[in-house]
Amino acid sequence: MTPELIGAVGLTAFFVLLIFRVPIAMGMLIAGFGGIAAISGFPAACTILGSETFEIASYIELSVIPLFVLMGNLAGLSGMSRDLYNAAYAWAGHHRGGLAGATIIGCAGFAALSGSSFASAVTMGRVALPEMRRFHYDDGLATGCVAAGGTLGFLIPPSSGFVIYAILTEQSIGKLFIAGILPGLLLTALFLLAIAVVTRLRPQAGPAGPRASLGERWQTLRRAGVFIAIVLVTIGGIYGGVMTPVEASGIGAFLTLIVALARRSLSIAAFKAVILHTLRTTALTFMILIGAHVFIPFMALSEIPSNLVGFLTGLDVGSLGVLLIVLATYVVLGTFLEGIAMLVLTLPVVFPVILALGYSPIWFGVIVVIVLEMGLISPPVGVNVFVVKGVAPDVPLATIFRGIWPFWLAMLACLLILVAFPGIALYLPNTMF
Amino acid sequence: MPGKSTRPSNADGMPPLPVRLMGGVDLVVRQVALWGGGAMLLGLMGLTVADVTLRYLFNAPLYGARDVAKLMLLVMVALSVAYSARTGGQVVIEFFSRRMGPRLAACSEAGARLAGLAMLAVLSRQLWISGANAAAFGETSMALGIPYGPFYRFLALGMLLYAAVLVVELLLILRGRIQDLDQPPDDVRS
Repeated sequence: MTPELIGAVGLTAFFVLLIFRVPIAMGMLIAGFGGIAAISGFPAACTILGSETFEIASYIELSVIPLFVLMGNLAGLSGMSRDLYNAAYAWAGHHRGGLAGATIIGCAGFAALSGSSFASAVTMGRVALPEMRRFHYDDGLATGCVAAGGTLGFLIPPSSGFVIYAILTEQSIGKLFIAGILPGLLLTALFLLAIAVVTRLRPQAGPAGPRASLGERWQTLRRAGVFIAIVLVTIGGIYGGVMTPVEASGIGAFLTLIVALARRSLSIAAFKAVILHTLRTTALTFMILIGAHVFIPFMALSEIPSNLVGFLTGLDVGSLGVLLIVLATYVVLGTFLEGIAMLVLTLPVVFPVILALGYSPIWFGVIVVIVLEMGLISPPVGVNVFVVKGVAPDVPLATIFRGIWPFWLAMLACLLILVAFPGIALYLPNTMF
Repeated sequence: MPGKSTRPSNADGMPPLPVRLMGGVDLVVRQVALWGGGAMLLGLMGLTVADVTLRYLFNAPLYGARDVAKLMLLVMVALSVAYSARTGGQVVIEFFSRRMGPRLAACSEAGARLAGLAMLAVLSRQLWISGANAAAFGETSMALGIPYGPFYRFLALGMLLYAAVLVVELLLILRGRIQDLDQPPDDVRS
């Protein structure tokens, strides 16, 4: 059999495994190991299996995953998400759609402490949804903005999506983090615009809340100041070249732990839950990366990516045309594949194409993460939608999906803006110290 | 709480053996992750903070901190991978399986675990062999010269614990107790 044929058989076997509920990490290990054994022999496959597993499990740059996850979990527990929401609520809640806007701003702020869209949606959903329902917000708008706002956790640094992308493509985690800042702010602004449009068309969807006094506003802002300080130290430290992402994650987790202890919000049971939740997410990510690092050499040996590069770059549609084909494929895949799964499955094939077309790998990382975010709220398997459904079980799924469309369109607009103006994503990484 | 099962019992009042085994495995993987993995997690955080503080405030970085940190990370992964697998921490594509009938779903669950078990057996064996090779060739960390051999083997043991989880889950499925597979993770509340 030729390497291409073995590659095709391996890919097919991999998808069959996924259909039959084999975890994606295990599927990649099986298909990758079997494929390498078929192409290069059993000893070579064994060598790659042992060495890649050890390399990934002890790859120091990946310490950012447990430490930033710990920081996000502690931030949620210590009430920082509530502080952020309260501050945004006090300043913007009296406008039409203001509570939904406060939710988006709160999500964006919490995203700077947590790299997980799941955590952002859960924590902000618990805080914001009861408030919006108290003021008779439309269920679709209320749940839609929590689900969409939660996805900001994937784009605004620290982002688990960027870490995985960086490891799979051998890019700088720090540069990717910094590249996510301006697009994250742009997407936040577009979400706010989407809320403004919805409430302009249907004012009853987002009635104004009560107006807070100036004193209350400053008080809430002061309380949220702790969060601002931690973000300045961590993300600012990375941008300023003072700290590496690993150092920033350690310092960030430590500061958040101090805040949680100072606020007496950390019972022993809660601390144990934080530890276990952090380890669970960490092990999940490491297993996927171990699987990917066995699967990627198999793909390279099969020559499928290089053949695809030749095919796509030979198409008479120009580099932008190829890029749009790739993005359209991602958007479609995102409707039924989980985000991280899609990332590890497609990057071995797509990334060489992007490099061959001359696009910046850092910029493409931002683009990919936004497309993954779209998948997080796309029917039928939008993960964040199910997360919000868990927080608001009485709201039908159809209502949540209906409320998501304005935000999905905002993401699409953000994507197109970044394709048209790549400098938005690349300006900050290019000016990093 | 893992280990304190409220699952249906046999006529003699005892839960069936696979259910009791599952309770035991749940307890072990949770304690191993919580105390072992948790110690590594907090140690990693403390080490990073100490290194940064000493480096920037006193211009005296901890010698070999990087070596220790990378091996702590490895131990943390080894100790938590079984817990993660047991509490649904592995990404599974559910789009197709939601459309399966109960019989096919049970076959699929059993097949997934068999495939995982086979792969973990190969992986554990290979890590053990790589550990022996690392010891034979004197592979060590850069600064402190910590030998890598034992850490390869530790990782192999972590994967074996994951395999043990799959074995007991497979027993449950084969005994028709697929409903006892679910082990919700410890929740983090805000």
